[in-house]
Amino acid sequence: MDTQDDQRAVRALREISFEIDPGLNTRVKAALFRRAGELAQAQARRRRMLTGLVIALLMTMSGSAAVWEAVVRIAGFSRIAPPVLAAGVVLFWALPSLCATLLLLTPRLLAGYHEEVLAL
Amino acid sequence: MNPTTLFLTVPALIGLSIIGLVSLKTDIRRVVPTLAIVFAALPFLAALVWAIASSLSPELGEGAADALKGSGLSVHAMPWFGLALGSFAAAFVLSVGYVYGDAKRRGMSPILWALVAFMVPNLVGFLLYFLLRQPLSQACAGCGRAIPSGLAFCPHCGHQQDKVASPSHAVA
Repeated sequence: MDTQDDQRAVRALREISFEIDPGLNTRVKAALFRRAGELAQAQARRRRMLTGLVIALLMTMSGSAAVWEAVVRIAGFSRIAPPVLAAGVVLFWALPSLCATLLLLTPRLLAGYHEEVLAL
Repeated sequence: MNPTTLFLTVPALIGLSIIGLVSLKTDIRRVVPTLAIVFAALPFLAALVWAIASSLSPELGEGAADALKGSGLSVHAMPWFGLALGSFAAAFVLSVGYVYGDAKRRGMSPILWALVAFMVPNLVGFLLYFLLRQPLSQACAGCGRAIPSGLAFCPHCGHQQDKVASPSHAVA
């Protein structure tokens, strides 16, 4: 009984036809290359964002320090009280700059998907 | 060179190098709108006139130094002060104009990005723009409308583009 079943199974297998796609291998390779390229691009974008973040932080610090220096000089001949000037610099200069800088920490921007995030 | 003059040299140099870049590089100048060039020329010319006039006439520099009494600016720093202020203002206007023109040709919102560049302090707006800008757009071979480069098909007319620049948009 078992032998007969085996023979029937083998006969059935012989009747199954396999169609070999000659382009399949090439397509799989192309897809793999494409995916590798996409990952490399995403990594490069991520690196660029991190570098940009560091530069933006440096610009925020140095720019705010320069503006503070200028404001201290302006305070020398203006009637505005120094605490008011300090609050103005922090509120209207340093803080907006810092907030804009921290935008770069948004996870999707960091991951390099800014084209989808900012469709501006 | 005293600290004040040194402090003023930084914006003057930044401003003059940006003005030089826009003046010498035709491909950059072509992007900047004419109106921005006209608006940039005004403070720059004013700064030049001020620098020459205050150098030639000490009374003019003394008058300005009196007006800015307490700021630490000496009479000798006055031409520098004018030049630094004027060239930096001119360079700033040119840069905002560049952002406007460049955003337009990339299919982004030019007014919005020009505002970001103008409003965000410490020039961080410019940095954000250069980090987040889209790739240059190209004209569709079928309908001629501007489409982002790298697309395999035009989103307006569906015409297949000749060259696929970005692998992320390639058809398998």
